[in-house]
Amino acid sequence: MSATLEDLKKTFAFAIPADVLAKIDPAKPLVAQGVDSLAMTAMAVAVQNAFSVKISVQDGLKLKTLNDVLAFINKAR
Amino acid sequence: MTTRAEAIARLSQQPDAVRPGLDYEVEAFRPSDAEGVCDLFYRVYKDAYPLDMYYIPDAVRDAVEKGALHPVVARLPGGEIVGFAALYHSSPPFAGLLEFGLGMVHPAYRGSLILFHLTNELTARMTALPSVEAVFGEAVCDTIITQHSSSLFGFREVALELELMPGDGSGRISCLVMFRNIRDRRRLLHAPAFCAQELRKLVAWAELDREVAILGEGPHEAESTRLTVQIFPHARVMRGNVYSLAGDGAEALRQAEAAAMEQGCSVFQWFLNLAEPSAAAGGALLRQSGYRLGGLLPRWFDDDALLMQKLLDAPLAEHINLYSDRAREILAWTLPEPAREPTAG
Repeated sequence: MSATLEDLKKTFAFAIPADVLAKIDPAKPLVAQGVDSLAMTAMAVAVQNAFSVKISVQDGLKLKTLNDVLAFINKAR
Repeated sequence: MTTRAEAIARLSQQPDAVRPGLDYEVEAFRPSDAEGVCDLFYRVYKDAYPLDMYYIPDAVRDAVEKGALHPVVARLPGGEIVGFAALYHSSPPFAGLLEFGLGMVHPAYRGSLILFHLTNELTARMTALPSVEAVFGEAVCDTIITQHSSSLFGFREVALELELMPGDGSGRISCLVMFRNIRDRRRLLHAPAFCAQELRKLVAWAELDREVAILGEGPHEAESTRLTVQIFPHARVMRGNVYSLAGDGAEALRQAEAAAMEQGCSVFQWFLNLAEPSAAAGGALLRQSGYRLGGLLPRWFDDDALLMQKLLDAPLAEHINLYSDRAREILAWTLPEPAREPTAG
């Protein structure tokens, strides 16, 4: 079964406050929406653990938006 | 040897060579990275980082060569360093217990996954380093993100250091100590009766193989008192290691605390070696002097340490953000007991 944006948002709930998460545009870069290195780290660890995928440095360079992350998960699973 | 002032003056005159948006690699530190590492510390902290070493490339190379620092870096194609994280020797007397930290990313690369890849790389390397037997981190409590990420990397909460670091205006910052064991054996802990139950819980949470012997608060004196004290003037913290306590132990602790107070300290921490029966009496002594339990620091002396702590000012518990029920339970142990209502009559 494919992961959805809602699945991602649930996974990130500990790293990003709910009000910020609710407003995030999945097509826009996360960094432009106030997500910093610490939150990106927490999100990446959560993605690896929750979806059983491994994010390489090369993969990481391409993950800028929530849509990028979602596409990566669904391709890698 | 270059001084801190000379090194910072040189760094401040260099233009920032880092350009945004480039690919990077994450690898172990090479000696040729030292200049870039110092430049990164300067770009992130300007002249405010308290340790001189990180502004002086030769000092960084020297620490790595001596095995006191195990860094990983994020390197741009031109060799510029845009990320850094390390295992390093800090306060613990045991050289096999390293601290996990110093994670930083160049301002132009914040919002990237560099810190994640540095953490991944360091976590993978630490289990392979033969000199590393255990690792701990001090996760700040002004946010829960670091605590949560640390737990996902296998670290477990074992202590809470109240008001450890200066904050940015909204009060000092407490740190949750998170620990991960790598190589260990069964050990005997001499627990003071007043916190034996808490220590047993921490032993279980950290999945340690320990026998916890409860000692009463009577005399269990060692032959001599052995303690060391470190003062961190910038943070106003006194950190002392108690190896053993004899009959003069109470006076030695009191004198060390008084000297630290004269030097401006407002946070006082004692780490007592629980392999020593005198630690039980020492813990009780400190408790009578206003200290509270901070938690368990596994492998601090190679054997585990009991952390007792005291603050000059009451901690602001509402500023302490914790990610787990266990961490909140530790907080409840560390806070001063509420003042008791006077008894009627």
